[in-house]
Amino acid sequence: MGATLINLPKRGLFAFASALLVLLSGCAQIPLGAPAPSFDIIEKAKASRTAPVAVGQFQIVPGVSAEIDKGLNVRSNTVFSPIEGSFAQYLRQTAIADLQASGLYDTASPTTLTGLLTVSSLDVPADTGQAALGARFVLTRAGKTIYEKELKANASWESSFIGAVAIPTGINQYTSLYHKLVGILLDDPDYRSANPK
Amino acid sequence: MNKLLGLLASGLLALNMTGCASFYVDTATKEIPVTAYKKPASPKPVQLVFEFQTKGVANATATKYLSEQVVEQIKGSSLFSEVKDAPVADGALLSVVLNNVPLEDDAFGKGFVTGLTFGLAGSQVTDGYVCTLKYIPTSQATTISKTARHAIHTVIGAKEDPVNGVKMESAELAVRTMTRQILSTALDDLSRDDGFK
Repeated sequence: MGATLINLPKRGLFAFASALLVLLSGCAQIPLGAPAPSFDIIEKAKASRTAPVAVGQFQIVPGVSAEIDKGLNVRSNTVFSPIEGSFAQYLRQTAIADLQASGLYDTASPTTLTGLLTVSSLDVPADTGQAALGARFVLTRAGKTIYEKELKANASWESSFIGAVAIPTGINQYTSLYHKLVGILLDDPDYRSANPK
Repeated sequence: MNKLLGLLASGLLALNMTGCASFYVDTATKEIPVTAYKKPASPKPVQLVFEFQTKGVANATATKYLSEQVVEQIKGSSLFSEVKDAPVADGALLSVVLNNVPLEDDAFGKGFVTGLTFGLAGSQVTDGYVCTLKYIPTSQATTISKTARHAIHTVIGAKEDPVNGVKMESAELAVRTMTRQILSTALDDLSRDDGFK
């Protein structure tokens, strides 16, 4: 529990903070926060007037290095997914969280959404940070593909030369792309017409 | 570690790295007791979505860190008959966004100078927080928006206590106290809106 660490006496906190500083400039393993629904995406989902879907398999696109699914190197630290150590599974859980909170997730639906992770990158230099996430989404009904498209989400922001500032900011920017990508899917007119309510 | 990084991302703990830091919750926004809220005649169920943001970007780790506290506070507000994370019968939806907006972007730099002088040159930085409630009574209703503001002052090194702050024993207590006070202010405001019945 973070509380235990934060309640350390100041001298202890300083020692811990120093250690943390080393961690952040060294080789820490940093998990993304657990996916939680986004209000903005719930609003998009409700406006999409689409039917509930089941969510099937998500994995990396064939031919792409498995490394893009496992971790991101950020200033010698490794950022990884808390869900099966897979960013594809993190995207799946984000989609489920958003669709479920919007009333558009139904495990019994005849329509199934699957995804192939195509892009996952995070670059946190001292000047401008950049992140990208891409996936090929496929919607099938009764064994027939009714929608298939690769969608991408990007972010860029003012970074910092101080790792303790730049790394958490970069992680937040990268993580927000998962909701952004789900939002792009729900906004896509082709998705909406393929799966009307 | 996971939760600690959530706080780090909010900017507060980064300041700890520079040496002895003390945390003060601003006195302008006070906790409003539940008994002061204007209770609806017939409380309705609501779906709650909470998100912590850092400079307007979702911070999944900090969201998880504070989520339980926010949910429990809203459950205890008596403004709703039930608080759920899934859609409810009438489509009532409450979004709570707590955005950490550093009022001084050079906070780390200030702390760094304090560290270089072994704390002799003290400094103070302030983190601002904006709590935005968006309440949609039914799926077809107009959104009611309420906003409350708060701040946490962090003093590093040899510097007098801020006159507008109550000293907290830890960064965690400061964040949790600020959250409770700012949310109570926004909930009280919501309870008094003519559209909230």
